[in-house]
Amino acid sequence: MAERIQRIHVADDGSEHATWILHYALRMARHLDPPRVQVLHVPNGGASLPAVHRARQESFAERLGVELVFRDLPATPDVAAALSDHVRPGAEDVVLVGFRAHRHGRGLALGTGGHALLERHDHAVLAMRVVEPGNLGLPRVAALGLSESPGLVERLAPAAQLLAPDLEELWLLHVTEVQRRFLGALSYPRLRELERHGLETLERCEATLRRTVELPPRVERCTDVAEAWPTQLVMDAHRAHAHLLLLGASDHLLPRRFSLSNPLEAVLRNAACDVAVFRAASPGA
Amino acid sequence: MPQRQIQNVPPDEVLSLLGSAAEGLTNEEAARRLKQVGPNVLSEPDRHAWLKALGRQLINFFTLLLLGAAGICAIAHQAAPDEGMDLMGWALSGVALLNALFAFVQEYRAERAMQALLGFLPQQVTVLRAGHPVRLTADQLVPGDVIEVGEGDRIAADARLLAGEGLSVDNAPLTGESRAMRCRPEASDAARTVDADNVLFAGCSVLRGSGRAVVFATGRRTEFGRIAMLSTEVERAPSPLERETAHMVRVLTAIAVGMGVAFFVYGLVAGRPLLVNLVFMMGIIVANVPEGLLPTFTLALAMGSTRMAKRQVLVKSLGAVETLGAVQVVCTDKTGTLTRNDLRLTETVAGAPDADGAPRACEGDALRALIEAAYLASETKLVEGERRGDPLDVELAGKLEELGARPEAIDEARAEVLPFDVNLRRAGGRSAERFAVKGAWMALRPMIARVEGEAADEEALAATDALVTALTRRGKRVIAVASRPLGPDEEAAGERPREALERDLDLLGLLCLEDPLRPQVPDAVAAAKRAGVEVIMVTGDHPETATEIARQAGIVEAGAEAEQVAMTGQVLEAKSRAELEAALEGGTRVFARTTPAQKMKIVQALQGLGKVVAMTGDGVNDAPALRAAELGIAMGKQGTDVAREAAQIVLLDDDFASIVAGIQEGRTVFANIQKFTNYVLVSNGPEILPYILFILFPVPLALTVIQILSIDLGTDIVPSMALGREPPEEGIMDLPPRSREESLLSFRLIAHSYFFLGLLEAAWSLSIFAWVMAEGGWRIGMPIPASDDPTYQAATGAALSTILLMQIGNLIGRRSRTRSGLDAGLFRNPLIVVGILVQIVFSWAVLYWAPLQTVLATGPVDLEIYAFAWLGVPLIWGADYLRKRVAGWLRARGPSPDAAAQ
Repeated sequence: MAERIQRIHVADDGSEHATWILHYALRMARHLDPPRVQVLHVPNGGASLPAVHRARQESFAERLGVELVFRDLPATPDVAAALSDHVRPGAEDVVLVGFRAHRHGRGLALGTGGHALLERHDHAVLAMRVVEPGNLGLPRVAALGLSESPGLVERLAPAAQLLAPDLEELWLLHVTEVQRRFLGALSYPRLRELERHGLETLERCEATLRRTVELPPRVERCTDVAEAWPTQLVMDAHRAHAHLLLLGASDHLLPRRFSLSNPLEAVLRNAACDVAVFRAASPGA
Repeated sequence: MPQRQIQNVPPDEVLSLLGSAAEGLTNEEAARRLKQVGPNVLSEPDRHAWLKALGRQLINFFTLLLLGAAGICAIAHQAAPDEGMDLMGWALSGVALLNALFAFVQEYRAERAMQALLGFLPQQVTVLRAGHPVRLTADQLVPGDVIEVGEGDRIAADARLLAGEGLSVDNAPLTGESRAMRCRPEASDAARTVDADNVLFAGCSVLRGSGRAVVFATGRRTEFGRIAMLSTEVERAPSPLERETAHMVRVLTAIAVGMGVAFFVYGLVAGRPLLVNLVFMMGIIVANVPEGLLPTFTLALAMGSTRMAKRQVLVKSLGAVETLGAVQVVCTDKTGTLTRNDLRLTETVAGAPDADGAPRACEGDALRALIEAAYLASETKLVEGERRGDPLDVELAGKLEELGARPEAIDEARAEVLPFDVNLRRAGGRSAERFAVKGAWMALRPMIARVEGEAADEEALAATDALVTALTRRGKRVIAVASRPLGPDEEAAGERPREALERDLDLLGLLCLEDPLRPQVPDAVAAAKRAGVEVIMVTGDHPETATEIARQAGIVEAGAEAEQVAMTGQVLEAKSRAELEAALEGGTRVFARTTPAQKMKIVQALQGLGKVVAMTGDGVNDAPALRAAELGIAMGKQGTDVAREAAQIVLLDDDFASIVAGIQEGRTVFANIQKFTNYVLVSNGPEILPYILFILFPVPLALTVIQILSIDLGTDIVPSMALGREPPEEGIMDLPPRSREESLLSFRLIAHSYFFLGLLEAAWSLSIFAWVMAEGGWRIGMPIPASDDPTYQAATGAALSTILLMQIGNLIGRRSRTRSGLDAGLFRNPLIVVGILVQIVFSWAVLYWAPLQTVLATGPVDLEIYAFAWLGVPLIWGADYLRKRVAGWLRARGPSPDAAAQ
């Protein structure tokens, strides 16, 4: 089981999106000892963060009783390396970093700092795209996208531990993907069998989570069978009125080249709530 | 530690939270943010959406199969130009394109949905930049921008209110709630942003007043944008019919290709030339694949949707026609769907009951005071001599006139309006001397100090509690009316905080309103129940009122109590899905005081119980659920554009009875699809058997490929369509909903089509073929005649003519699962007569009309032989009728389901 996260870092490029992610970091840090967030400023064109920007961030932190520490990183083309160099390797540190807020004709994940950090295993990474800035980093309802992947729920546990104290409701979501040609021919007994299997998976996941995470008062499960799990997952998250959808990263999930069919791109593009992708530090990091 | 979202933050902190200031952003900062977050638009239009949609249809399995077959025909034609393979190739290509075109026309909807969405955002907004108000196009808004809104404005982005003057907004496009929401800048306790009264939402509009707000979400990050995008971009799950059709096409194709390849290989091994084997493989495939079936499917669904439109049910997705027939539960709204949405004031009751606790009528001066106070707390406008406004308010004005008073006098005296607040559940109004409020009794109760002028103690209030409960149990919506005179220091004009006004009120009486049930609803509910369809009511109304309506409608038993059958939204919220499923199984049929957001939870619980659920909805919030549900039903009159675009069905008259009519139509469509599928597959028998015999035995081929196509793509189309237009069979609504396990292509249907009627048609037609060949002097063992041999051509013509005629008997028999098919009368469905005539004319023309003889390579036969071909009609009809009688007899003796096959 992954260790509990003790320190939170946020990659800040001075954008509004980074500010939205900082809200999440501050909320999570409130439950740490000490309640502190390190802001790693990644220079955009060499300039450091404007003072007004820092002042704004400090006021957020002050409201929530969290200490904010700023560190300006040297300008470098390899942002992920620069961030990783300034974070202690291991499972106790997590870096919150953003995907793109806006496509600009490109993908939302590919080529971003979030994508690059997720491919590294030095420390835990929580890469996010925020589409509900009005929540101010306070997701009262969260959804976890789960599968049969061995150890997935254990790997997600550290992120769940950070989010759980502020949650009122947690949804565990599972989608069994069936190709359209077979979905068309799928008999209803078989459909029910797949749904039942999905529910059993979720029951096991919930039991595993409860061993290490203090879950909110209400935990619900939802399983579906669909031809495309990314779009079904975002639909289920919407039905659950989730403010945040949390996924576990894997090499399969991360895009290698720009493709609208990449599952992570599909989730980020279609989700009606904030999306966070978590990768724990690899053992021994 | 504060648990705060944007709506919970005090206004003086919001600006700094968003990195803005009272004078707004600078242009440089706005430009920087615009680059980061993108423009304030809902979508980036896909100009090639139609091309992609068409492409998708061209690469589906069935189309590719037909195009592949056409390609092989083209190659075969090059090798043997005289075989007519080019004609077959063109025919197959035509069918493939026809299939793709039909599907494309029905599936392509994105353009219309997008147009509806784009219409919701304004073009221009007033923004403060560096302290100066400027007019900008709405797409330039960024988080942190300070905007100004006024009466009539559409809101361009999600914004937190900073200041407002009498600001009321219409959030109906988002929530479906038609009541105005009064907005105020103070921090809200609302747990969800969408419930807050200090947030302005993109796509909604300002009804009254003005305000200033700071933007916190733009474009696809707005509440409207996130939901609307989800509802248009997420693909709907395939309907049960789409699954069944796909399954059937795969099975038939597998049979066709398997047989074709098998005979191709056999022919090669037997030493036949490659071209000959190729032609026969094509023949087997073409004979097995019902080329005309998919267009007939689409046409049948289209005809079904046309019939449903006449019954005020607009079908936006063809598969929904059939899905409606498989529905097991209908979750329906109350107001406007089960009821007329025509609230009428039917009774005015004094605030205190009589000594026995019974209601006392409010009369005389007390009545006038009650109505005047109620009207003071209302608002109407005279537009071209007609009074307009909330229907209750308009009715109160009318009542005033009946009592000899002038509503205009109160309109002139009214200094301030507190519009209805959906959370506070009351509305108020103030003149110089008096303040009045009307609303839900429990909302007014804390403010009541007197009842009809007498000091109210807890006992008096409890008596009124009991009175209100008794009235709601009778299905009335009860509006309490209270007022008080204003003191000298309160008479000054200008707004006062609501809390300062709403105190020490005198309860003047109770208005009893009724929204009558639509007269056809009880019968429709009864019909639905007979058909095994459960009805569940979902409403925002009081549980007692809702239960009474449910009793009147027949949704619950006449003596059912609200405690037994109703559940409030508050209770629903606390229940887990498993608990809710148990409650539904335990008989809960009314959900009261629910919000649109809770509707999805009810549907999910029903789906968890394995039910096929149809759900009604009207707001943008409902849209993704409507699109993703098995069957979404939007309201045509009171629904939003986005909900109507997302749903598969639109009730043009918002009437529940139309849903039940639609269910009957949906069942009829499925039954008709089974009928013509059965009909078409029967002709596969006489098409396939000649090839099998030709391959296995030294006999000539009794039917050529062109002749097969003339049946599948020619003469069988009109009769198939005729079966697709059959009216509902008697008793169709007395059967339970189709089981989800019931397949379109069952083993029974295959057995009936291929091995019973199909074999019979094959046997009779081949017998006549053999007879003609024998009459022409050919015997087994003699060389196979050439394709232009007159005897051979006459024989194939006779076989073809026989099949066409026997299809008449098949057609009549398919009209009913259990009866003869003649009992209903042929002229009840004129297309049946046309279909029969087509078969008759063609059966004659293939033998005796030269142009058709040339195309199909047939020849004439003696009239005696043609007469024998006619005997096939009573033969096939009689054999099938005998089977039906035997099956009916067996059914009557014991459980022996005669399922889909006929």
